Amino acid sequence: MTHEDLIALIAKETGLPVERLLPQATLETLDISSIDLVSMLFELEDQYGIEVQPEELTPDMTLQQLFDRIGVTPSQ
Amino acid sequence: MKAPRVLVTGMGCVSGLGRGVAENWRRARGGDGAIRALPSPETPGVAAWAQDPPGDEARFPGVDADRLRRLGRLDPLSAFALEAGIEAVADAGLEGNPSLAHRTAILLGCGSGGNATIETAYERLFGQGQAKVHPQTIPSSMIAAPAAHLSMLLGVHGPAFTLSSACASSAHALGEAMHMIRAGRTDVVIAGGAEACLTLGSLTGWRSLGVLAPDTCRPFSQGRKGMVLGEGAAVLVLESESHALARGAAVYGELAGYGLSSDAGHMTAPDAAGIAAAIGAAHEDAGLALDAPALYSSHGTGTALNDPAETAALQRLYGGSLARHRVIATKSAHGHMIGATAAMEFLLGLLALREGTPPPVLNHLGPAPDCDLPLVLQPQAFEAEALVSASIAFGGLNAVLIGRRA
Repeated sequence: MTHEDLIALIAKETGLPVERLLPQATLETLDISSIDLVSMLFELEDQYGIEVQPEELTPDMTLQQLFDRIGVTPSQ
Repeated sequence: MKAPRVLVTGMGCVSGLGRGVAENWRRARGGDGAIRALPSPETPGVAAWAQDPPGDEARFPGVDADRLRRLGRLDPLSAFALEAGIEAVADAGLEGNPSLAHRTAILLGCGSGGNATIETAYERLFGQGQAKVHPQTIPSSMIAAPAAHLSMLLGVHGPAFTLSSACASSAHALGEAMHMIRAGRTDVVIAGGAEACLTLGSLTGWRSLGVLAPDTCRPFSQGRKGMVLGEGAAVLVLESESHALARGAAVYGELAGYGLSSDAGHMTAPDAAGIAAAIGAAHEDAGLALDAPALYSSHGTGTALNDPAETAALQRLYGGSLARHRVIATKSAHGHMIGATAAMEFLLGLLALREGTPPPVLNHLGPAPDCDLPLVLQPQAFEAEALVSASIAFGGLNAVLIGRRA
């Protein structure tokens, strides 16, 4: 899974435009509903076999922290 | 106190005929039907299927993307309902009207829930042996979702729900909506129906029942072989006369009567006495004489059982005055849209009444001895006093609506 794949997956499951998915944005500021978060985790596991438990996602978690947790960093 | 008249002040629809009332009416009136081969080899046969939708901005004009996002995953069922509902509310000029929040109800009819969502989930479980399904499977596919989604998008805080009575669902929705306004419970109801049933599982179920025609839908015709499914949604804005007048709303016509019956007999075989009872009750409710020239929008499915039973009901009820009426069957154009079909037929019927141009019954091969009716087979002018729009559903659930010019 590339960083772009992950961004595309988050955008699709949350309905948020890609340009809002900045590394410093938190799950809370992005206003992602709990059902969208669960949907995101479902697709992550289903498509890429990456398991993240819902309780690992806290409102103040940044997307960068999520990228780190999943082990996918932006290609610079 | 006299019950208020209930007026139709907005309309929206999407079907195999196209997107929006103008295109649907243009094709129906011109006899340009939508029944054709299904596009996927996985689902053989014919249907009146809707073309792939445009992007969200074109499909849901004026809707804030963030607001749409909050609805979560939309099954095609909800997307159809939203598309028609947004068009109807905009057409009525009610966008941003304070009445939407607290003096408006939403009442939609659906025959089934989100088939595509359910089938995708079950395919994972039973076909692929997976253990999990998408977390939004339940909220996206529930039969109440279209009403809930529309309320969220429009900010309607009044009563909102889906009701289901198979192929009469949206007739019951419109009729009960009319009574909500008559009773003074609300000033406006956004009412209609939606269905998204052209999925492999749903189509296979219908085919197994043995009621689908392999060729096309030929209501009341010799050589008819059954019904043809369609999909989409039709939504009307109903409004009390005083509310509509106070804001200077344009008016399409009046929903003037509603008659009901239950055959209490058979799940799939219609009963002429039950059908006649519902039509008669609708006439009585509207104060419409049985011999007043009427445009009768039939249930007209093209099946072996429906068409003769409906014919017998009309002959029994109207007797010698049947010849004064004209019978149309628009399922021959837009297919059987199940939960959406009654609202679609009432919508097209009301436009036909207004313009005096009933859409022709399509695919007719010649008179059938058991279906002797004054059919409209060619585009023609007909000045009717009222529209009688009948729905005869599985389970013997009959509902008939009467429309009048404003």
